[in-house]
Amino acid sequence: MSTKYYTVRFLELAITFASCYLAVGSFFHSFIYTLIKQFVSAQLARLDISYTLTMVDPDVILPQLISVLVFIVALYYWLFGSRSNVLSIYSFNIALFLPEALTFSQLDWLNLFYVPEIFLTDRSFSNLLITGLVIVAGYIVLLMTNRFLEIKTATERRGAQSEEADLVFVNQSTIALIMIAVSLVVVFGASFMVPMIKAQVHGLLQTQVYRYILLGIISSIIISASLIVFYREQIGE
Amino acid sequence: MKKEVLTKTPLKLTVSTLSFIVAGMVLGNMIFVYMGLLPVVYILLSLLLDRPEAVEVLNPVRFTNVWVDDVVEIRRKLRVRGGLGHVTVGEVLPPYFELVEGSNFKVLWKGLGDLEEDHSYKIRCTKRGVYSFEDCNWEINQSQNLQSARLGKSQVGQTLIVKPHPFNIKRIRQQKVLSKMTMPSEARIQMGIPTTEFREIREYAFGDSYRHINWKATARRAMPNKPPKVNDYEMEGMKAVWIFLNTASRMALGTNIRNGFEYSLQAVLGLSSFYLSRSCRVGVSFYSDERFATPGVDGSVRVSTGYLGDILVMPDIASGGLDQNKGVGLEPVVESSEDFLIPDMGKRQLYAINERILHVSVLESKFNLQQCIRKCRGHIVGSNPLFIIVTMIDEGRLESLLEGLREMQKYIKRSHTGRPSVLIIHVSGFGVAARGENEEMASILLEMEERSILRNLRGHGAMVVHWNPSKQSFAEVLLSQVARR
Repeated sequence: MSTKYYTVRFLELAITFASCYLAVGSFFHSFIYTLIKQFVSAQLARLDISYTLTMVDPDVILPQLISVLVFIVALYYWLFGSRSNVLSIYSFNIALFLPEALTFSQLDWLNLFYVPEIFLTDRSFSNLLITGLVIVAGYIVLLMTNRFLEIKTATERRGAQSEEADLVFVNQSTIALIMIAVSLVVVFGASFMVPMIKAQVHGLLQTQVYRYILLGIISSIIISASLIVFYREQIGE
Repeated sequence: MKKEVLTKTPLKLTVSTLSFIVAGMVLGNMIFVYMGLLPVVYILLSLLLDRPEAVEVLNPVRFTNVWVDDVVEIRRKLRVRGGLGHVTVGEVLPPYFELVEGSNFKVLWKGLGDLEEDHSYKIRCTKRGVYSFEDCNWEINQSQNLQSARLGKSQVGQTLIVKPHPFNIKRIRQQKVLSKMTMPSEARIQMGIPTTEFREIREYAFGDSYRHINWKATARRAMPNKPPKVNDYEMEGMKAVWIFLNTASRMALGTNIRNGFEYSLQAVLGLSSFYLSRSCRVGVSFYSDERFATPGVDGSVRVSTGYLGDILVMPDIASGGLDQNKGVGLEPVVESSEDFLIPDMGKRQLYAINERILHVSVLESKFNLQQCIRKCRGHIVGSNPLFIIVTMIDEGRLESLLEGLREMQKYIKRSHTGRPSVLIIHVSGFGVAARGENEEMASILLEMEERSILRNLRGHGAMVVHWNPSKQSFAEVLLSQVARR
């Protein structure tokens, strides 16, 4: 195994840890964490355990406990993981991130069931967007590197020299990392561009009387044209 | 152009994209929408990177002549143009080839520039034959493996001719030993009566008959002080050797590479080379002492027997008989294009024998020894040849061999030296096939059993040589036929 191979593997670990760190951080800002903390504190109070005597302060011990647990799981999956394990890390991170991300939902479905507003956070939209994007980017990196590892093993099994297979793996992973980084920049840029474009289009449409009909017609034309082009290409091939 | 098909990876990413976008739309959450956009942007950007366009595999050598067990280096020049991605190149090795160094499968990374690389690997050719490397298979993959691989072939067209090693038999220089190695009885005569078979035009030498001067050729090349030209003719029926090789399936006892049949072929080559170098005319014939059944069109079966020649078995009997005796010595016939090579001299004949032996396989002939001799009768009559039979003697097939011996005796004059004119080389297959101590012991026991059969054969006027290729070289076997004066 070449040095480059290990570099890629450690980069993979760094990305996994980064996404786990952000997901756990997001979880600590969510209402679920506050509920858990309150529950643990209540239980400790019921059992009449003093924080100062036993050093069991939920504010200190709970974040440490959850963080260590998450990082051990991530490290285990990275070392011995298969593709399904990669998906497990990803699902785990999404689950940790979800309660805080729901804060920025514009439609509160829980209101239908007369549940009071519980999704609250003290962090900004950009902060959460970066966290979400890094989690997804981490998932793509792990998925792709695992796929490349499978290809490497398959080519070696077919008789290719180990160095040649390593070279292919390293180059594929490098390109994947570059592509994901570029995609991150593009999407992050788009998140800034969309409100500006939205404001422009909104201003333009305000002057129109039947703006919904106009938007509908334009969308239908674009969709139909795309379908026609697609099917023509298929027939041509 | 072939349609580009996406692999499962982008589909998996698209699923997560859709679930995020749907969740974002349902909840009115732009974070989910942007999270869903990320895989789509990654797929689109990656698909912009084209995979390599074409692979060229060049072969600098068309024909390679090697000996059995030689190590050959196979060289290829690989060229990959355009795109970005990885390319795999692989060649299917013909059977009986062993990879010694490197690999016949290579994976290459094609970067931004055009790629040109040399690829080589070493193989050992373990069995004689003519092998061809027709195509080199390649696969072109997209750098991120988002599209399925494009498969193709490049013609390399390399032919590898693997020749068997002849067992060289050297002349014994020591004066005090007498070789018992049989030679054709006519070989003692150095000069014979010229036949009408033209050999060449040469310059007149002292002692040549005037009748043989070729006046036209002399006039055409007339120069002062130049001797006239004479026609040279082959000497009459001298020193003919017929080698009969048994191609029965039991000859292939052993592994695919090391078996009695392969050793027999090498022995035939060695013997041919030995006798040809001593100005003998050597002919080679293939026979088989197995019984054959040829299925006919109407359901009948033609059975080849040693005693009665071909017998036609009628359909009703054939079906019943064949079903009942399935696999009892009745084997399918392999039609042969050429069963024998007529006797000839010189290097040309050695080349012809070599060529023929390259393509000989087990069950090459459907004729037994007697039938074979009868087929070659026209070339044997009057030549008083030396017959050499290379076989694996089997008690069950002994009668067929004895019939052949009796047929041979018809064409042999009594020798003045008392040496037999039939040499039987018995290749012991048990020793070749034996693996491990127990099998070795069993093979020794079987060989002991064979020795009594060989003694019987000697009584029929044949010289019998027992050869165990796993223990002795062919030269050693023949040297054992040397006695002190």
